[in-house]
Amino acid sequence: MDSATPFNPYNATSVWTHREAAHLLNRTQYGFTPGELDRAVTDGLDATLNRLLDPQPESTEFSRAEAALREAAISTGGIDNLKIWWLYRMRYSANPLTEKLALFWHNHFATSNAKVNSVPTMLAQNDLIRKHATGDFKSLLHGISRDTAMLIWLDGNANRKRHPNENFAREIMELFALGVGNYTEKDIQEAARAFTGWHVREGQFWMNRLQHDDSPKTVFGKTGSFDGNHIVDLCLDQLACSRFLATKLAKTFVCPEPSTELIGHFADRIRHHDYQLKPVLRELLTSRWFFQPENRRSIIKSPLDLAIGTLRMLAEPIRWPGVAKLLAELGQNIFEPASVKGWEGGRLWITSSSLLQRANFATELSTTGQYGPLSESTRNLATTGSERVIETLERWLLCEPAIDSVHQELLKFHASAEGTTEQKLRGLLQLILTLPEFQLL
Amino acid sequence: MRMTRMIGCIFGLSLVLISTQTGWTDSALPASDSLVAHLPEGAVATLEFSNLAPLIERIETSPALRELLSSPQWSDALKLDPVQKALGFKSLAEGQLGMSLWQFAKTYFGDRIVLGIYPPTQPGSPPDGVLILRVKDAASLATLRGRLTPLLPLAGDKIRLSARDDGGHTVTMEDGNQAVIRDQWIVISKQKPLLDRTLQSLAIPAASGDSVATSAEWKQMATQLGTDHDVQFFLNMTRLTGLVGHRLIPPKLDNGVVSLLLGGYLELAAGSPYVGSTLDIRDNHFELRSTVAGNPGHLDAAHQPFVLEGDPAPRADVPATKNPLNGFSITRDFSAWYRNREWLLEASLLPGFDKFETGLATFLPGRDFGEDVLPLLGNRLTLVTAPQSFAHLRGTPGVQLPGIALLLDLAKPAEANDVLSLVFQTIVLVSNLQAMQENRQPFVLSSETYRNTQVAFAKYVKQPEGPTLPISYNFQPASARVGDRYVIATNVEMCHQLIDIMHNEAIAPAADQPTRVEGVRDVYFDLSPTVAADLLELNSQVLHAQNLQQGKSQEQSVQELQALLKLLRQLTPVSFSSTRFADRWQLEFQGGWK
Repeated sequence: MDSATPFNPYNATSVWTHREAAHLLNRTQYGFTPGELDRAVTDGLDATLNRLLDPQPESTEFSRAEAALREAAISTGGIDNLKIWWLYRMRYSANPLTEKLALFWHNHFATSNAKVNSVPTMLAQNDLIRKHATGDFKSLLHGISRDTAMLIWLDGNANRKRHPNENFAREIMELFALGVGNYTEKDIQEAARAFTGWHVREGQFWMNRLQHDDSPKTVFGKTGSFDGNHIVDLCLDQLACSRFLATKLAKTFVCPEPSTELIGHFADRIRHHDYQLKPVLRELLTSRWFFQPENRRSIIKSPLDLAIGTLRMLAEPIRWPGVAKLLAELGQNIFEPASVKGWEGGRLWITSSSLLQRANFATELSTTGQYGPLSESTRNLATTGSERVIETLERWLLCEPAIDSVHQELLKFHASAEGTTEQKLRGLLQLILTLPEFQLL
Repeated sequence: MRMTRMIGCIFGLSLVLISTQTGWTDSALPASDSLVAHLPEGAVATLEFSNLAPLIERIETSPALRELLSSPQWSDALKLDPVQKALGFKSLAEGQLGMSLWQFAKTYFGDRIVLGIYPPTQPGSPPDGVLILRVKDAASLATLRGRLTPLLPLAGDKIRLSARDDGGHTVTMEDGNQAVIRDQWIVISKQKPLLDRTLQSLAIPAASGDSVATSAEWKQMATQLGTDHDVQFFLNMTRLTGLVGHRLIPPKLDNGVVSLLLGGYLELAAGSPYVGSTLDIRDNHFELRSTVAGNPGHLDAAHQPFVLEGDPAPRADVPATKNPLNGFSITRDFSAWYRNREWLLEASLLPGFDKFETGLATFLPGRDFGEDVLPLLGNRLTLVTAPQSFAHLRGTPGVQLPGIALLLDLAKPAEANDVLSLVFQTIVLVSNLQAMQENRQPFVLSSETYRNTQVAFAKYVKQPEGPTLPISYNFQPASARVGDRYVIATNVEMCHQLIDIMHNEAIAPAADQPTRVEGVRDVYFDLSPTVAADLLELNSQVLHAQNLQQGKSQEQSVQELQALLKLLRQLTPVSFSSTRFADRWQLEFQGGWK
């Protein structure tokens, strides 16, 4: 790679094999099926990216199932049903990048049902972030500041003219738009006044004019009779906002420790595109930086990447209640993030306990079928020879050949293992799914 | 003798059936047609099947079976290896037998079969047994023999055939079981003395000496239950208790619900000479009965809460609400049962009662449940459930639950009313606290007069509106006292219905009341599968989603739900009851199909 031009497009003249295709798919969706990988290799980078970024029509089967799961979540009021609805979308939607970005925004605007306690309200927030997932960050930030779940989560009704509550004002600056160090305590106090009267009434946003402080405020050095909308716009006007967003996107899609140069470049591009996310994502995902060898397998898989990604590749159909429970045990309980900061991820995903649980997942998936039986394409591998089956599994699960010593060990295991060809395949799967390399994206 | 081997022996036997027909005739049969009369005395248990041919015929020709065999589930099952193997075996067997397996079952198992279980000859060994099978037509055995004898050499030394002096034949199996075939009889046992005594009884009934049917325990059962049943099971408790050396049913039970429902029956069973069960299947109805003998009134003091006098005025088992899903009633001296719990229940359960009482302090501050509350209640508790109209909503909940009403008899109506009203208000209060957490509308307590009865109920300030309201909107608690009874219901509609029924009961003469039985009914439960199907259909979207969550396809899920609903709609109401008589206690389970 030409390090002097890290942002040059990684285009048709560059190398495009199953390795690059697998890297792109692993980062932009929750794993891939063998068919999806083959299609991406055949279609090339541009067509694949177009498919990921442009809205794709959903299948009738998916639409019906999704609607039934959504309806059941609303009807029962059970958050576990809502979790399964979303997991189903993550696995089967024809718009997998949208689902991955929906999770990105769910983590960014972390809101927990533990306090909101309402499935329809959590669902409405989820719909909002999905609507703007690849769209306009400005609209998303404005929408989230009036979102019922967020107002309940950050005590909007307690934010009153004579007793401003700083929760939302603090979080919009610290966690949603700017990051620590880019505002003052005075900015927060003044912004909190601007959000006074932004309440929830009968489950809907309500502008309580009697409780709104319409006197002048000074935020980021500007003075006016600001309300919440003005504060959101003022945040978006700050240079720190685009840098904050660029940092988060780079950490999620490129590498855990993005350089200042990378952040600066994409912060500029975010401003250039006026916070429209689709062109920014296209530039990010086609940059040479994204495909740089040292940035591949540099991100520790989140529990969702691990579980949904592995199941997408190996199992069909999937038994979802067990998967939702597993994710909670592994520390990524969707709709119930631990705090306003969401899941910090990275190395925190791996602890002595979670590593053991990841190994147990590998065992259960490859032997007991607790999360669903192995798919037909996986079982068909059992009838192929040692070298072929191991090469295929390395391509599917590790995205590239394992290092020689590991490859030889896998060959040795397959040659010496006892039992039927299917039992050998299951043993091989268990070994690969517990490799350190498999824990990386 | 191992029972499984004995049953296997019947099939092995079909390989060597012979045609010789001498000796035994119908005239040698005892007056009672039960084959138990031919089982030698000493059996611990017997199981007899009578006249199964019509039942097998009904199953063979039933629409339900046809539907099952044309269902997608059966099509899927046909792809399974074990099913393929079974069908292969069926074809092979039918080819060799020259008849369908249905016809085979009707011909050879369609008359009478009895199995007697005897104490083992050696301590620690499996029990011994005798099996007698009778066919209607001796010639059918000959026909079968003709078809299967050529296969006998395939069995090698595992099955040996020898002629008997009496004209019959003995088949000796490798494991020691012997089968004797004569005329229309097949008798199988591993113990020669048992086999010989049975054969002697079949040959000359009058000279056979004592049989199971002459034992006092059997005679008592025959008197109380009769012997003309499709299936009849007899357990000689006197003999079994003697063999085991201690009570078969522990004096203290390890489950509080079982104790409350069946504590009296089980205690009587522990001292009963027998336990008898019968199953009768008619055109579209079945009845399963289980009886123990003894005078319930003679149970010890700890079990007296189970033995109450019947109502002076006849009363229906459960109130007849509109379109009921199910009903349940139980008659006990609840207060005495609660006080006697240390004698009725295992010690490990007792801390649970302490926790229950602690938890109950929220609802009944400053009162002791056992001493202050239960004595206020009467001896009967009734529960009814039925679909509701959701008149209190402008819309329906996403999950539609049936309305539930609890009807309590009161021993001290005025005092009990105060306490139960306090409980009702506390329930509403606790519910409101939860409503705040869940961001839904709280209740407001209100009251009305309905048929001169004061009804307390909870209502919403603003009528909830929407097509898929949260599940909590299924509930609109209501309560009322009518004379010496108290109603607490999950909706006003149910409460009104029960008030209507109680007022009508007070007016109507006793003779007009439904469902009276000889004896004292102490537990009753019924369920309408059709109403259950209606409710399931209303909630089919949720059930469908649950199937999808388990990885089932749209098509599979829809087909499964449709099959379940169809099955339920084929059934008529099922009921369970416990009835106490002066000389026995009887459990009864009934059901039917359309």
